[in-house]
Amino acid sequence: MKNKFQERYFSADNRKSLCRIVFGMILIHLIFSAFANTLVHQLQSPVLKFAYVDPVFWLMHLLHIPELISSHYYLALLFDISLFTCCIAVLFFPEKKWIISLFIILYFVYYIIFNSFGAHHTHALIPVLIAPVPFLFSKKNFLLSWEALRYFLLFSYSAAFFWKLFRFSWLNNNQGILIIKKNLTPYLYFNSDTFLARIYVWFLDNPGFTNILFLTGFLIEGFFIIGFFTKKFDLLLFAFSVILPIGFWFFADALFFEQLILSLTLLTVYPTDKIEK
Amino acid sequence: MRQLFLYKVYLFNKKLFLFFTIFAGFTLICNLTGNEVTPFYVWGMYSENEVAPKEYEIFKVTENDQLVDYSTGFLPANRFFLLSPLTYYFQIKNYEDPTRNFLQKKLNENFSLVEPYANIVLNSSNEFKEFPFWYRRYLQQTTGELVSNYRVELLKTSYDKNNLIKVNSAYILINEK
Repeated sequence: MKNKFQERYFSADNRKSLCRIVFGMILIHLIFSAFANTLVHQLQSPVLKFAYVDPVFWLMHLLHIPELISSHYYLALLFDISLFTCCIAVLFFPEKKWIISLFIILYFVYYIIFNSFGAHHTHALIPVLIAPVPFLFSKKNFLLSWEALRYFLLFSYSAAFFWKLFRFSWLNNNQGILIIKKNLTPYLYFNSDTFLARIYVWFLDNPGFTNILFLTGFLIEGFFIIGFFTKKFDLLLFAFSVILPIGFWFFADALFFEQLILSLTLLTVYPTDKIEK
Repeated sequence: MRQLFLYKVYLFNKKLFLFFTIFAGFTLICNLTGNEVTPFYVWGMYSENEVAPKEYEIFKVTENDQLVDYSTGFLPANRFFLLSPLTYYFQIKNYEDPTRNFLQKKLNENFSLVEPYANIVLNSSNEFKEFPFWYRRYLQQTTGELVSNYRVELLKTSYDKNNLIKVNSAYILINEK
C-alpha cells in the first residue's frame, strides 16, 4: 500500500526532477556568490573571525579548518571549484548520494567560513545547507524528510511571529520606520536624489502606513501556523513565502532568496496524507 | 492523532522519528532560551523592539580618493562582507575581542575553564592589527582596482524633521596610504 502511493507520487523520476530543481537553485545561489565576491578564494584571506558562542563554530575554529582553507589561495580556489563541481554533478547524477553528501560537507564548511569571517551569523545560507538533506534518504524516508523540510519552513516563519509577539515589537508604532532607518540610512545618505530614495522618504514621512505594512508582515508570519494543522492553504503560504523575502529585502536591505528553496515544499503533494485516508 | 506528521514518521521509521523529535526538541529549546547553536536556529527576523537611537552611524569608504558607494551597485552579500567585519572591527576596544568580554561576564570565574580554547578561537591583537591590510585586499577584490590608498570614516548622522540626513560628526577609523 505504502509503496503504491510512493510510486504514484514520488517516483524515482519525480525525485530526480525535484533534486535537479533544488540544486539548480543552489547553483544560481553559488553564481550570485561569485558575482558578490564571497566565494572563499575571493575573500582574500580574511582575518577577523566571529565564532560567538556557537559550539559548532568553536569546534571548526579549534580544528583550524576555516583558517586553513581561507588563508591559502589555491586551496580556497580548489575548494570553490569542488563546491561548484559537486553542485553541477548532482544536476547530472541526482541519484548519486555520495555527491550530495560531499556537497553538504563542503557547503557546511563554506557556511562556517562565510558566517564567521563575515562577523555575523546570517540565516541566508541555512536553506542551502538543509534543503539537500532529504535527497540523502531512500524513497520511503525521502518522502518524510521532504515533508519535514516543509515543517522547518513553517517553523521559521511561525517562530518569527512569536518572537515579535512576545517582544511586543508589534506594539511599537515606529517599528517600521526604525527598521528602514537602521538598515537603509547609508543608501539614503549616499543616494538622496534617487527615485527609490524618495520612495523610502515617503515611507518615513508616513510612519502609520509603514507600520501597517510591518504589522501585515507580522500577521502573514503568524498565518504560517495554520500550515501545521492543514495543507489546504499551502498555495497561499507559498505566495506569502515569496512576498516576505521581498519585504525584508525592500525594507531591511536583507536579501535571502535562498529561503525560496524551502518554499518548494509547499508546492508538493504528500502521498503520506493519502495513505492515512 | 493519525494525521500528525510525527505519528506518521513513527509508523514508517522509528529511527527517523527519533531524529526528527530530537531535532525539533533542540530547536524549541534554543528558541525558548534565545541561544542559537548550529543547526538549531533561532528565527527572529527583525523582531527586536527597535528604539530610536540618538544617531545613526554610517561608514564612508574612499578608495584612491574616490567614494566607494557600497549601498548601490553591489550585491547584498558583497555589501555584507564590506560592512559587517568593519562594524565588528569598530566595536573593538583595546584590541579585545567583544566575545571574550561577553563570555567573561557570563561565566565569571568559570571562564578559566574555556580560556585555553578561547585563546585559539577568539581574535587576538594580531588579527585586529591585520584587519586594515585585509580590508584593502578585499576592497581591491570588490572594486577590481589597485588600491593605492583608502580611508574609512565613521559618520554620525541624524534625521531632521523633514527626514533628511545631516552629519553631526565624523572621525577617521582607518587611513591607509
